[in-house]
Amino acid sequence: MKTKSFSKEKMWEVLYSDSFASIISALMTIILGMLAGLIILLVISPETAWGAFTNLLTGGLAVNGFRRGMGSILYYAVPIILTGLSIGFAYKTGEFNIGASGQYTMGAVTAIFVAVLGENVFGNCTWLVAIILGAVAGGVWALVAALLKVHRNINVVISGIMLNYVGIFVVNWIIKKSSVYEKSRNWTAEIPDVAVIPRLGLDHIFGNKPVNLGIIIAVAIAIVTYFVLKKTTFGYEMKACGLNQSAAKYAGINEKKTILKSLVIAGMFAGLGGALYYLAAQGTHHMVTDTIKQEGYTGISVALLGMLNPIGIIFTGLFIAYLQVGGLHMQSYGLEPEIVDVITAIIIFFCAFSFKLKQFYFKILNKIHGGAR
Amino acid sequence: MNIVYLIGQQTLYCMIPLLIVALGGLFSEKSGTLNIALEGVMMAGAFTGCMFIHFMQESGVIDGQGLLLISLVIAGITGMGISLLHAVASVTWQANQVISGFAINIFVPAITILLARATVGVLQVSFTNTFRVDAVPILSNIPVIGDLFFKRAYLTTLIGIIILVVSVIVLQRTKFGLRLQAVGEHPQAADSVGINVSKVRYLGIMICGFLCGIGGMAFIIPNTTEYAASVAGYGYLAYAILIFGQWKPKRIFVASIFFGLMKTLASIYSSIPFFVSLGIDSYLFKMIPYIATLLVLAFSSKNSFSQPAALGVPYDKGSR
Repeated sequence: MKTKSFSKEKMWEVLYSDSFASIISALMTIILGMLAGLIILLVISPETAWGAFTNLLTGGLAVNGFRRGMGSILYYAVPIILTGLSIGFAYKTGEFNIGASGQYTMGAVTAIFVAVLGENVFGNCTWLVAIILGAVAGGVWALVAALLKVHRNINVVISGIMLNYVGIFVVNWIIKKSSVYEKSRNWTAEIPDVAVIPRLGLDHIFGNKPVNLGIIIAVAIAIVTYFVLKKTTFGYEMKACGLNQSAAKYAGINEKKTILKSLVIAGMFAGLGGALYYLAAQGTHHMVTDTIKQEGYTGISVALLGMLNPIGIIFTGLFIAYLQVGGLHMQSYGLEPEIVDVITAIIIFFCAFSFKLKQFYFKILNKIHGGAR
Repeated sequence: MNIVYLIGQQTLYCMIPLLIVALGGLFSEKSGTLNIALEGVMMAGAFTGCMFIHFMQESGVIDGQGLLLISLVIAGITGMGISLLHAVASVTWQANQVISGFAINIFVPAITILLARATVGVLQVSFTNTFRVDAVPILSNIPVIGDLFFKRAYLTTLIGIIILVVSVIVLQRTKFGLRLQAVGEHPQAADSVGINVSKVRYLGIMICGFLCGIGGMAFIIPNTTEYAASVAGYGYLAYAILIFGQWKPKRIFVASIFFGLMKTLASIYSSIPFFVSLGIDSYLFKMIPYIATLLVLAFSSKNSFSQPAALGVPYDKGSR
């Protein structure tokens, strides 16, 4: 009898904890977003809406079999988990790293260059050198914005937007002048075998989909980031800067150095994401067109939906990838894959109220519990 | 001389949408609401405006300047509608304004693609450009100025200039404008003297929506003949110009001229013999507008950023 009441007490404790409330509010936003998406589908094409919607929910998992479907999801999740981490990490110091697209592009193209040109120099380590230099390139591109912020007080939103454009022009310019350019297809040359990231047998588990070390790296970095933010002085300094820069400064934190470091690390995450995506398999090419890469913006969605929590970002990255894979099969219903963006947008919109949703959750909880705890 | 006129006309096509949208953003941000949604709201306006023109031209009911004028109003109203979402989120629900604004930027291009497919059948909402005024009567005969401003002109240019003048007057000379600024600087103080903070902020966001909608059309009409779920990043650029212009209408005007001119040089350098003779790669020209903006920002005084003090902070009556 006594143990029962104890476990009940424990249950209420969990139900009332902040992290549980966060998860519930995230689930609420997802359900609301899905419902809104369904309504829009019903309005646009009533006949195919149900079929399309169930297809979206089951995604690639049903169409290509579970293993292949999971493979696709993991493959698409790698770059957006990392750009999501990039945005989430910088956001902790209060900076909105909208320039992640540019950093991602820099990382991707640097990795492709190292892969194609460095095959003979680096041998079997080509992939490793390529992803490291890709991360460095992303960091360097973020450093530009960081220096402008710290020394010239230029808002990183504006420098990020500008550097996204400059970035895509710079890489395309260099590509067109180099031997990496494949003129007939207007894309970058094929990467050699030694540059493909080791599969570690994961591709066999996931039905020959390009799943590899990349997903392990992405998840590991997210976990490390979590601990850095939670348990280290640097993480504390970052959060202090994000909450109140002046207060952090008067508390003896070198706020400029902290912002600089956090932005460069965020850039490295994005750069690494680009490198891992473009070296995941042969047949992946960077198109030499002047369009800004979407993964950077998707990263914003991932970070926001994950409530800027690195562990949350792993799951939201997988979730958005799951929706994207589901969206790929939309065309068979005469619908554009953009329905995924609509749903994502609505989910993110509700994310903005996560605070209110938590309040709402506690209100209901109080009713069930019979008074506040 | 022809080259100068060409540059002048192209610069106008480029700067007017930036000017209108940045001024829209100004109304929102001066009242304290961050508005990164400029891009999405522009697209919403451009979409309904182009849809209206598309169907009107198809049925042949109305065409020419009258059609353009009505489509601008429709675009503006659409902009207000979509901005209402941002207003409810950020003012009433005290949501994170970056997040709700960004959500609109993802939502609009996607939903317009779906709606275009469902109505027109293809992604692109196309129309015939019957809106260019080759020469404005009388005025186009003025030397130099006539060639610059009154030949190959669009109604949107005139509207942009009117919006600028009205914005300056409203913000600096009217009761509403001063209240708007007070609410953005110190909402608690404004509230304590009887200003309805929420109402003023709603109005700021609604004006922003109207101007962004018009700005979307002002971008589409001179520069292309279809809406294809994009305004080429002009909303983000306008946001940059808003910051570049330090939340001051006249500076925003100068900033948009500067950026428009740079972008024009980048796109038409190949028809200017002098630039071609330099033998510089086309990519360098493409980068110029963005790098130039960064350089100007870097070398203009570093402490002069006059962001509204309460920008991005939801107003909480309890904190008074």
